[in-house]
Amino acid sequence: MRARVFLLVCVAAFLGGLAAAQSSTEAKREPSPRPRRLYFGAPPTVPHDMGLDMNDCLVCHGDPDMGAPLTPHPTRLRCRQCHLPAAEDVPLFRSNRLAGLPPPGRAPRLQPSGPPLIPHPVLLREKCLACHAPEAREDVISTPHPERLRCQQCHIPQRPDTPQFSRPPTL
Amino acid sequence: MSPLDRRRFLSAAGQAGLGGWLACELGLLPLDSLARTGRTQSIPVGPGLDPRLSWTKAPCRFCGVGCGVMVGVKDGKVQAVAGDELSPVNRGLLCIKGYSLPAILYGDDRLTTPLLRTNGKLKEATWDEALGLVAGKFKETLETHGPTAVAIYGSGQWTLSDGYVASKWFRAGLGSNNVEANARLCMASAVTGFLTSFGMDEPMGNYDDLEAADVLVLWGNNMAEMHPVLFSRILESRRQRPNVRVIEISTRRTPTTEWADEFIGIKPNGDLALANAVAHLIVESGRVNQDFVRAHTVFRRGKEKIGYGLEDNFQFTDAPVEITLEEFKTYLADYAPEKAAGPSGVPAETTRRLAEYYADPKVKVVSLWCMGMNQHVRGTWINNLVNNLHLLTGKIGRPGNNPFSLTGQSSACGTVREVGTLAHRLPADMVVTNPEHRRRAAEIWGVPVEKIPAQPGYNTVEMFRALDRGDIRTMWIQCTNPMVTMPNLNRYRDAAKKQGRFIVVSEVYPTPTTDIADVILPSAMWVERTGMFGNSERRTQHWFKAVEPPGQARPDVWQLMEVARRMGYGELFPYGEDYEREIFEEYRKFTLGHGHDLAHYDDYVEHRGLRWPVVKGKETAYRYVEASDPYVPAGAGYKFYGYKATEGKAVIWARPYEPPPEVPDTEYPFWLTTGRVLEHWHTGSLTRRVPQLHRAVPAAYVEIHPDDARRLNVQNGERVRVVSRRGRIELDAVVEGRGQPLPGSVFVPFFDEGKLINELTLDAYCPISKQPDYKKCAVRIEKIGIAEG
Repeated sequence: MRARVFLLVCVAAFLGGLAAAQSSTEAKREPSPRPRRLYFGAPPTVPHDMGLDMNDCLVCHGDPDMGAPLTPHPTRLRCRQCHLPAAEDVPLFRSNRLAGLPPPGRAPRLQPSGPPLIPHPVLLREKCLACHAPEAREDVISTPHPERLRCQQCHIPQRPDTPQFSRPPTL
Repeated sequence: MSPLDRRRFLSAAGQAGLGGWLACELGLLPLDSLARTGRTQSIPVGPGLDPRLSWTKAPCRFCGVGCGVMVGVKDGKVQAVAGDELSPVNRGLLCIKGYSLPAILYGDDRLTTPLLRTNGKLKEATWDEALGLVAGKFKETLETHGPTAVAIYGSGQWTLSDGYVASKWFRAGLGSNNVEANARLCMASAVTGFLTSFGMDEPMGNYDDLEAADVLVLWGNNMAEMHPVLFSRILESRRQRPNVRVIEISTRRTPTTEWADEFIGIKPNGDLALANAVAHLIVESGRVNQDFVRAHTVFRRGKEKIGYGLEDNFQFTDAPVEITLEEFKTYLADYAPEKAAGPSGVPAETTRRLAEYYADPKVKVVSLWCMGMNQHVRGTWINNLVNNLHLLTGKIGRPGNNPFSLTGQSSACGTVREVGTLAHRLPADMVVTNPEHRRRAAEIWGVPVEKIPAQPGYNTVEMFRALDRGDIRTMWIQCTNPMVTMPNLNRYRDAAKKQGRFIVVSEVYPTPTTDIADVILPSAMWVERTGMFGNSERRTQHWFKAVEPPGQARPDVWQLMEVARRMGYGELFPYGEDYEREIFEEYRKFTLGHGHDLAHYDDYVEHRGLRWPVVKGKETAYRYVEASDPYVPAGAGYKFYGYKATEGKAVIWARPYEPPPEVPDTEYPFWLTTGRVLEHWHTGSLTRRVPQLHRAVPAAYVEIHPDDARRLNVQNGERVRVVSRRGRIELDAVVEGRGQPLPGSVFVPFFDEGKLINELTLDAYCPISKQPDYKKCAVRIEKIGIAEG
């Protein structure tokens, strides 16, 4: 029921969006500022007003045709659980010294000619192309082969904590 | 490999240094921390974590859900956290407060050195000076005013060892039961509710109920904001099984309402009438689970018209009498849904729909609640009444069929309820009023039984009243911020500032409570020390120290033991460097053999927590039911073994509707309800120091229903004055915000130390649980510029 309502809303919003796009110039959308994170791995803040109705984020962020950054975890419904409006013009209560680490840069490979490993957890990032499709985001690596879809066929998460395989001792 | 084999292997590897070497090679653990703990931490880490950091596990510092987080450390600082994918609680998910954990350690104004107040000015001091002064003051007060004149006021965010040492020092050392904790403000009614209904505290079910249930009834619980990770588990369950229903009962539309299938608006205290009406319908329609009720329950009725605790030295003792099912039915006659609609505010057909879920034996129902039912002048009663619904229908102890109280704080269950840091409690559900319990405690603590007073100490509200009257002279406050959270705050702030009062505050940041302190002690928090918490589903969790605390900050437990030693109570605390382990193993002795059993310290090091009772290495998922709970004998089906007086039967209570003490009138025409927001933790002393959390909600506000705003001619964003009989503050009005109170009521969050809504609230409390009601008092709204009345 809920899903159906949501689909309807999406379709309506999409049609509305199409109509709007046709009637105005394409360059109307201002580039929104880059999302900020508390540290690498933390959820990004939202660089625009989130409004009062908090449950319609996916109208734009779940639909590739809307041009907004896509959510990499479309089954997670309550966005506000983790994403807050950035509101960077609000003065701080007290300043904070947490610097965090920058993104790790190029991901390691198992061997020089092998495919790169995934340098972050996959949970909540199940839809790789939401970020790694060409032109999806400037600040992450973009895939030269988006048509291949099943990324984890070749790219696997790194598990630095896993000890080397060794056979159990035989008696 | 069996768990035991694995444990042996790990510990052997630790002794041989092999695991440690491996961990360091892999960058899992800095060498210095290995050297310090003398143990390896061969704890599996979730996938894909940033290899530039060393990762260790910890429960989240914030709410009672107890999410597992992986803590990433580099250069001696926490640089990142990630949801722990191996934690059964959150399965890798977090909320925005959890993600903000690294930043709460690094606010610019961390307290890093002991401070003493002389002539109104704070001066830095050494630990030796500060601890000597505190010990001296406690000694002096004991000698001149006796043991009832000293008090410690702690926290549901205390670790197990903090609470255990505080309780032992006070009861076995100072001979005082004035040990309280802020959890009195938070879940005391759930405790007395569980105790009177089932004979033992804490839920019988666990978080797996959230996925197993067909219908989840939220009795006054804004779960989307207060327990976001559990709420996302419910949303995911409903996404996969669209017939799942979420019903929200509340006096305010909240962000949870957006996701609920049905919102049932009630009048304040109307939940009493509603729950009775649901029971009435279950009985009337003949759908009482006769077999269960006959075999496993008795009916009781207690005192009525029991007062509101508004007078100093208020006393109440219930005098329950047994009644028959027929008498219970007669009592329910007043709650036919049409009759109940008056006090509850719920239309009869809505009540019928709700009752149908509980009554239908095929529908699995979980009742969830938190502050709405607990911060309630009849908190124990409404807890009993909701428990009744599960007992009448036998929907209890099985996956998806349980009453489940959610907890506000990270260790409200573990420390306050289980270790027992309330004025009448001893560890493991024992009480000071029971001679056998005192004997057992004295034996473990190695003191004569006469040392532990049989008279309970002051409950929190009475404790601050005693401070006002001068019956308490010296008080130590740790890990909590009562100068923001006490109801009727003006009285208690003035009390703390009176001549002849000496207040010690252990804190991590300056707060309104450190403002009234004579001594401020800088505390180490969360992963700056080793510790343990216990969450809402009876899960005890352990973490190791991962970084050094800033400056001279030290753990609360260390501070307590150092003062105790300086007062001559050193023999009570004969622990060495590994005191966390030694304290836990001593505390564990209290828990064994009567349904509270905890595992050994090392088991918690290795596991993502274990749910007590842990018997023969096995945790207990569902209590009171055969096969799951080792305390239930074979063939019994169920046994509520905590209830000695009823020989293992649960109690169905006749508890009537009674109105709140202060109701709106012409002078103060609105109800005031207070609460929290997703972004801020309690009084904001931690979360307001996280830039993104503060910016999202930078100040408190007052939510007003649009109809009321129109009548008052108040616009969204307009500054208004909120006035009660006890105080007044100015706040920006929010007319259509994230929440919307029902017409005739307003809502104000309490996190903002610059806008202290508790100056307006009423210090009425539930006579049984002694928990104050922050949800109901009368206020008026004034437009600024209109002459004050």
